[in-house]
Amino acid sequence: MRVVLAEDLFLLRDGLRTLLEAHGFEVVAAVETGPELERALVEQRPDVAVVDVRLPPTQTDEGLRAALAARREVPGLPVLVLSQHVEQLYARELLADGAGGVGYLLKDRVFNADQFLDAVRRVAAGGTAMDPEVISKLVARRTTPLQRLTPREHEVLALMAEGRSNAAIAQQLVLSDGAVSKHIASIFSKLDLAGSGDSNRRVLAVLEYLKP
Amino acid sequence: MWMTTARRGAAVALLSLAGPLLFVAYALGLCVSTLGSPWLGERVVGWCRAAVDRARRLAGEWCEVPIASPYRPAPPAPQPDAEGWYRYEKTLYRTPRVPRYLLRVHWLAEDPATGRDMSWLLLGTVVGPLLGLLAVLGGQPVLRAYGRWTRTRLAPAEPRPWQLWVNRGLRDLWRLAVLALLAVVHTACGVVLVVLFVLTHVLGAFLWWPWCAALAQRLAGLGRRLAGTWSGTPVDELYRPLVEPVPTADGFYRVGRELRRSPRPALRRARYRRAMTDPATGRDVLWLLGDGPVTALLLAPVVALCWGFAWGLWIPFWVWVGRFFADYPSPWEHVWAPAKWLADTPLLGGPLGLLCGAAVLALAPVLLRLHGRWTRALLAPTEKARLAARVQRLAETRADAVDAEDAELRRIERDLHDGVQARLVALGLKLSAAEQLVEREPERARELLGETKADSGAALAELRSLVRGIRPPVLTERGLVDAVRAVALDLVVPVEVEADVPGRCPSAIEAAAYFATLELITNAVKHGRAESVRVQLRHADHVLRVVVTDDGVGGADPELGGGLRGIRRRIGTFDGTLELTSPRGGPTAAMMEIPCELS
Repeated sequence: MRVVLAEDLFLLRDGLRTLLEAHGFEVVAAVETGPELERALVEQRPDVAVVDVRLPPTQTDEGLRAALAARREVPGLPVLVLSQHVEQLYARELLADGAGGVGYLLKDRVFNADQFLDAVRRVAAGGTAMDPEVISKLVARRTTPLQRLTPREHEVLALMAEGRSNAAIAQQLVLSDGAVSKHIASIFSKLDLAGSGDSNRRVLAVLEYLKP
Repeated sequence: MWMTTARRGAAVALLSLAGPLLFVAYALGLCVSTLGSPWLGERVVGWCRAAVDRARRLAGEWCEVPIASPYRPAPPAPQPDAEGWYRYEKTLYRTPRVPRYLLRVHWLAEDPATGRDMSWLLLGTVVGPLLGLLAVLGGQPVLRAYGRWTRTRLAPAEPRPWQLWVNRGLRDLWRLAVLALLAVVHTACGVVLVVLFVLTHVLGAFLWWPWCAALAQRLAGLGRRLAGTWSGTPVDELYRPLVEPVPTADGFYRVGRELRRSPRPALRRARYRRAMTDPATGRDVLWLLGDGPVTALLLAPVVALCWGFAWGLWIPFWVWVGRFFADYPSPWEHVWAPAKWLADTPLLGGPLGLLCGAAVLALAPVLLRLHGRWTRALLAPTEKARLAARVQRLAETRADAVDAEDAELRRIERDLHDGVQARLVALGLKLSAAEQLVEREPERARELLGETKADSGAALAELRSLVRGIRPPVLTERGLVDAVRAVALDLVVPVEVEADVPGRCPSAIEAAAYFATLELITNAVKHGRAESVRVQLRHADHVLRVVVTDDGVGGADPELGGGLRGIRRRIGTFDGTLELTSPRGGPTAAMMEIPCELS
């Protein structure tokens, strides 16, 4: 799997590259500024991009903006954004185009190599991987269609938003795979998501969940 | 048919004769209500108005000219505020009696329909019988004419531009007259003050001088206020602050070379020192002395023009009216020649007098403005005084800023020292323990390593919240508007953010505005128990304006809340201001303004 990596701190960049290459990913470009990243994304067309939000030269949200610009050019280009802090504002901008294939994680999540690599793979496959911190802030905000969900369905949807697979959700909530599928089907019907490909509906459900 | 019109004409003629009676009753009603018995006065005025309203109805029924009633609606009864006070303009009253009385008197006296009613009653005494008797002969057309004339006096009227111009001229002329009277008083007071100054210093009673200076300040203050409200040239008042005497360590006050127990002598000396060193005091006295001559100079053209108007038009006109009633010789045989000549040649004097009258009305506003300028020239704070006040303010805000910075650095130091540093030490201990155990108990070592991983995550989380307290990353990355939006997203209470800030403010101002806004939103949710909050951010005319409104319980007071005072201090460093309106029961609106340029 071809990966473009954007991170301005040498130590982290090198660490990530080592980690990814050790697990069979091919790092086609490791860049450290926003413009370089944009160029690399459009030229290389990687399977997935792992991007730090804050990049030189402006040291603002250069990475995020470069990723969004590249996604406008190449719709659905999978991007996993890493940051020292998570903001719902950014999460929402990433999810806004509704094309899926986005992730947004705290940098600490890299400590847990398996989870991190799992997130990279999921994003590359067009799913979502949202940090539990983003999700937890949403729990307090119930929006209208979501009020129809049962507490259990809420738990399932929150884990879906984190980008877990059905099997992972079943393991986490100690349910059978069938029960999880049933919950998910019920969530889709309660949120009025017509059947148009399961992965697309998953993204739509998550977007609904992440709405203000 | 003819009989009805004849009867109606006769009725009009007879009824009109009651005009003077009603006029007197009307005037008495107004007098009584201003003199402290509003209830009775209003009753009388009400009866008179009912009578005039009947005339309006009759004009509709008999003369085929319907007239609407022009009176303003009665003012509502004054309502108490949260603490039970009744407000009228800038004064608070314990009971509603006085505000109610003032409201009603103003309502009666300021209604233009009142004056028009009274003029109709007087003029009607002449016009009514005349047209009424003519209607007996001429029938309906004459009655209609009478109705139309009544309508010109009694219908609701919008003043025409020329009327407004004349009114404004007359109003300013009146104000000039008042200012002229005041100017005489001022100059007299100025002379008295100079004499007092010399006397107090000669007799050694110089500590009384500040009292005299205070009188000058009072008069000058009135002059400043009038310049603002009448002449349209607002003048700021700026006197040096009094330097309060500071007691020694054992509680004595220094007076020259003596030490006294009581602060009073020291305070008197401080007052004297201020009166003598503040240039504004000298300028006040100078203005008082000069106001008389300057106002006289300004009024000279008005007096000349009024003279022309009087001898050209006014006096000859009344003499001409008087000759209808009695024959008498020319009254201006022994007056000054030019006046006599003007009065004797109506063909030239008339137009000239009219011209003079118009010129007076045109000049009055200009002269009033000029008087305001003269006041401003002497009574406005000098550049030096402004700078001194500014330096004072800057010294205050700088001290605040330094204190705030220091407190902030202490907080950060403490948080790092007690939090993250301690955690990292513990982490190091666990790692060395794991190192020891690797050979002997690999299972336990692995366990410890897992714990250290969790600990480092916790340390990072703590650092994150610390960084957010110093300067939220979103603010650095995106600027004020998105930082506020991010806050809005993190709160359970719905916060609506409206923004029109086309650019980034300077970083320090951005941070101050962000934390102030955060404080306001938090207050609204925590103390105001608001269910929804609205934040508007706007940058216009070089000012960043943030308005936070909520639907909470209100009753916030910037003087009581430490948080609000903190906001004031924080944005005061950038010349920012915070205004808060928070009536009991809500809604609360806080408006923050910080002058800044966008990049």
